[in-house]
Formats: sequence, structure tokens, C-alpha cells
Amino acid sequence: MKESTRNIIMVCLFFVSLALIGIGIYTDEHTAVLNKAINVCMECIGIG
Amino acid sequence: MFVWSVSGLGDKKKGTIRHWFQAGWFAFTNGYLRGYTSGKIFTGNTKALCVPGLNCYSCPGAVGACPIGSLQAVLGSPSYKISLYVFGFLAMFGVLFGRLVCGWMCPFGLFQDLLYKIKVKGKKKNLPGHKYLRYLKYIILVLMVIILPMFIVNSSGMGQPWFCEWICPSGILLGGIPLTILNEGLREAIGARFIWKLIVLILIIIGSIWFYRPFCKYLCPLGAIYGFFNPVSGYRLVVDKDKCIKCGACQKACGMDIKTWENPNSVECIRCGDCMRACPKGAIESTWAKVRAHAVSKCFVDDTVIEKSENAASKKYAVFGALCVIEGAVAGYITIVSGLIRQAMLRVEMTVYNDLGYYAFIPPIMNTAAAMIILVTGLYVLVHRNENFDGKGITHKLLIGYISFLLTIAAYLIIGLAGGSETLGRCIAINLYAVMGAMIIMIVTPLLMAMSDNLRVSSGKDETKTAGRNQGFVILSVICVILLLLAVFIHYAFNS
Ligand code: SF4
Ligand code: SF4
Ligand code: SF4
Repeated sequence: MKESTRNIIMVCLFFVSLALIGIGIYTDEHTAVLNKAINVCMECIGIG
Repeated sequence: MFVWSVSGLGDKKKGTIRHWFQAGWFAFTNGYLRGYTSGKIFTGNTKALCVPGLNCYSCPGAVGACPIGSLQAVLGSPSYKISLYVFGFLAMFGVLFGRLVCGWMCPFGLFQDLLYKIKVKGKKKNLPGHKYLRYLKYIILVLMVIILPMFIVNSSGMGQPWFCEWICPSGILLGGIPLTILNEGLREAIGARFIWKLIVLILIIIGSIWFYRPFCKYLCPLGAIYGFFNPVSGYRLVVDKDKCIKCGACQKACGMDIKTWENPNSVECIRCGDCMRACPKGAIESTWAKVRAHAVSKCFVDDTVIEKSENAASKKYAVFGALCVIEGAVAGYITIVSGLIRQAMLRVEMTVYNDLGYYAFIPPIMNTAAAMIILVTGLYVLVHRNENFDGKGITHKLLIGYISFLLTIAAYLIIGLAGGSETLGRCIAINLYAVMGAMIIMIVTPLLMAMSDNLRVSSGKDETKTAGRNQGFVILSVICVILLLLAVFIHYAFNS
């Protein structure tokens, strides 16, 4: 693959990733992540 | 010509820089110090953001969310079942860095790197059966991170984070062990699963002493995801086929055992840079180094080039002038419109004016002056870009702008000394945008000063002296960035 093709794919994917994060925020997914992350995860630490 | 960044450092030193960066990154993303004493985890809003590496969010100091844990949590939640948000973060980190994250930004990667440094007999790179074992991480990704959490659900539709539950050593190392030491309630709840995870961790620790990063090679689903991005990520390796003599020195130096000359963007490459340092022909280069070299050649005037072409010099003057104008305009706009004017409109309600009166306007005014000096300098260079003039005068003008910025800081200090920390805090709070404008000037101006030092056509200057001064300006800028990060770090380390 040519280096320029790789760069084009990279830029496209970057915007897709931003779009995904944007949609995720719109559907309130970040709150689900926040709620999981601010409580001790019993499975992670091997309890429960 | 000006030597930029770490390109002049010795090979060993560059390798050590990676470990310092890994340690610094760990400290930055796990800097909630109170967590380590109280046994309680951070609960601030930054935890809605994923960090790039495998960094358990139950680590007492963690200020961000683990992407693999978050992915399982959202996939297993009855309200979502698919996670665009976490996939978005994974794709963003992947597309920008690829597995550079593994080499530089993952605490569990650092942990294994350090373990591999322990001197024992019989060290090897790979486990027996490496060829097949490396596919295990894809099975773990598909099965334990995606399918099982999505489809094995309880009566309320909730799935379990299978990877966290049964495998993830980062969870027990960063979360389980410190929390059970610090928190008596959790200590009492220890059961069979804790023992199981401890055994997994111990096996990985033992493995990492004899083999290079076994968890990354065979088990980690996050590394598997970032590996897919390696061929198209912003950071890639490029091998110059004309220089390469196919000696294999790169593979010998590579802990991941990659034939770099054949496959520089292998899904297994963690971008540690060891191969670049080992190559006797200097045939391996990163895309970032290429971009940096290109930017330096665009921005810094090389005497030998100028002798050949006046046009090249005027182009560099144009780039420099434009950068000054952008910096001055952005910092000025933020300071004047969002800072000064807003502050003037709100002043009647602000108690800070009871303490300070119009003195509160001094810092943003000084900062506006700094921005304007830089803006006008840029315009001057743009207008005169086709004429030959010494860049030294330009450096001095920027220096005046920087002094004006320093006076802004001095004004804040005087306010703090005279009115106490509370008055200073209130003054900064209403001047927040002006402070942001000042930060831009603080970081960007030294870089512009370094560039302006090379804006000249006539030679006859002491090259080493100029290069040394340029390095000094760049270092000043880097120190400013570090100070800023430190301020952010201190802020969240002590406030949840
Ligand atoms: S493979 Fe996984 S554990 Fe290893 S460095 Fe990458 S993200 Fe971290
Ligand atoms: S070390 Fe350099 S010259 Fe040797 S095979 Fe690797 S890339 Fe080619
Ligand atoms: S190919 Fe080079 S950068 Fe990649 S893991 Fe091997 S030594 Fe490190």
C-alpha cells in the first residue's frame, strides 16, 4: 500500500472515530461509562 | 542548521526516555493521590473519558476509564448492546497512535518491560508455540470482551465483564491489590475469584521475567485492537529499501521478534523504537520523524539553502509571519473578547472588584499587549518577507511580547500576595479566558523565538551559539507545557 493511501485512510478513520464518539455522547453512552468507572468494579478487582 | 528535539541524543538515552515517558504517563493518568491513602477511587467527571492503555478504573489513583472495561460495561448493559462511544475512542487512539500506545502509554506494558529487565538465566523472547499462541488474543477479544458480555445476560438483561472477571491482570494489580490493602471492607470480601486472578497475575509476572511481554503478545485484547490500526495509524515505521542491507539487526533487537525490514507495520509492533536504534544503516524511520524533519525544513532557514534560493527564504518568512499572526490573533481574541470584555460587563456583580477595583484589569491588559506585539511582529514579517533582514531584531520584538506576558503573571502574583489566595482564585476565575490566552503565549512564543533566530540571509553568525540558544527556547516551551500539566495534575490530585 502506498504511504499516501495509508494517510488518506487514516484521516477518514479519524473523522469516523470522532463521529462515533459524538453519536455516543448524543445517546448518553458517556454517562454509562462514567457510572461504571466511578464505582469500584468488583469483577475487575476479583471480588463478588 | 538547528538541531531539533531528541535527534541528537545517544541511543541508550532514547531508550530510557521511553521508560520515563511511560512512568510519567502512568503518574499523570493515575494521579489522584488521595485515593492511595483513603482506599477510595476517584469519582470526577474525567472518568467518562477513556485512557488509551489497559489501565483499570478501579485503581485508586485512576482519573480516566479503561477502554476494555468500558467496552464490556456498555456491551453488557441492557440499554445499549453496542458501544459507539468506546469504539470511537478505540478507533481514535488506534488511528492516531496504533500500538504506540502499547510501547509508551500502557501501565501494564511498563510493568512487563520492567520485569523483563530482571537478570535471570535462560531468557527468551517468545513462549514455545509463539506462532499459534499469538492468535489467542483475538479469540479473547471476540469471545470474552464482545460475545459473552453481550449475549450471556441475567434476568434483567445485564451481561458480565468476562475479561475483567477471569483474565485481566491490570485489574488485580492496579485495583484489587491496593484496594484490598487499603479498604478493610473489601479485604473481608476476598474469595475464590480473587485467588484465581492473583494466580493469573503471578503466572504473568513469572512469564514476563523470562519472556518479553507475554501478556501483550498472547492475551491482551486491547493490543489486538490497536494492532489492526498499525498499518494505517498516524505513527508508522518506514524502511528505506535502498539503505536496508537485510542484515536482520532490527529483528534481533526487537522484543516482539518482528522482521521489521519485511513488515515495518506488523500488527505485533509496539513501536518501542529499538529496531530504529539497532539498524546500522539508519534505514528505519517513523512517519512522525519524517513530518518533523519536513516541518523543520519548512520553518527554519538553512544558510546553505538560502544561498541557492532567495525564494526559499521568503517562503520561510511567510510561514513564520503567519504563525505569529495566528498566535497573536487567537491569544488576543480569547483575551479581549472572552476575557476583558466579558469581565468588564460582569464587573458589577463580582465581589472581586470590591477587593481590587480596576487593578483586576491589569493582567488581561498586559496579556492583550503581549498578543498584539506578537501579531504586529508577524504582520511586519509577512509584509517584508521578500526583503533581507536580520532575524535577531524579530527575536527581540517577540521577547518584548514575552516580557509583557511575564508581567501578566507578575500582576497575578502581586494580586495573590496583596489580596490573599482567595482573591487570586476569584480573579483567575473571572479572567479564565485571559489566562488561557496567556497559556498560549507562554507555550508558543518560545518556539517562535527559536524559529526567528534562524530567520536571516547573511551567514557569519556563530552557528553553535545560535543552535544552543534555539534549543534553549524550545526547552523553555517544553518546561512551560510540563508546568501546565503539573498544575492540572496537582489540581485533580487533591480535588475529586
Ligand atoms: S498489549 Fe495490552 S497490556 Fe500490552 S501494552 Fe498494549 S494495551 Fe497494554
Ligand atoms: S537493521 Fe536496518 S539494514 Fe538491517 S535488515 Fe533491518 S532495516 Fe535493514
Ligand atoms: S519492530 Fe521495532 S518498534 Fe516495533 S516492536 Fe520491534 S523493535 Fe519495537
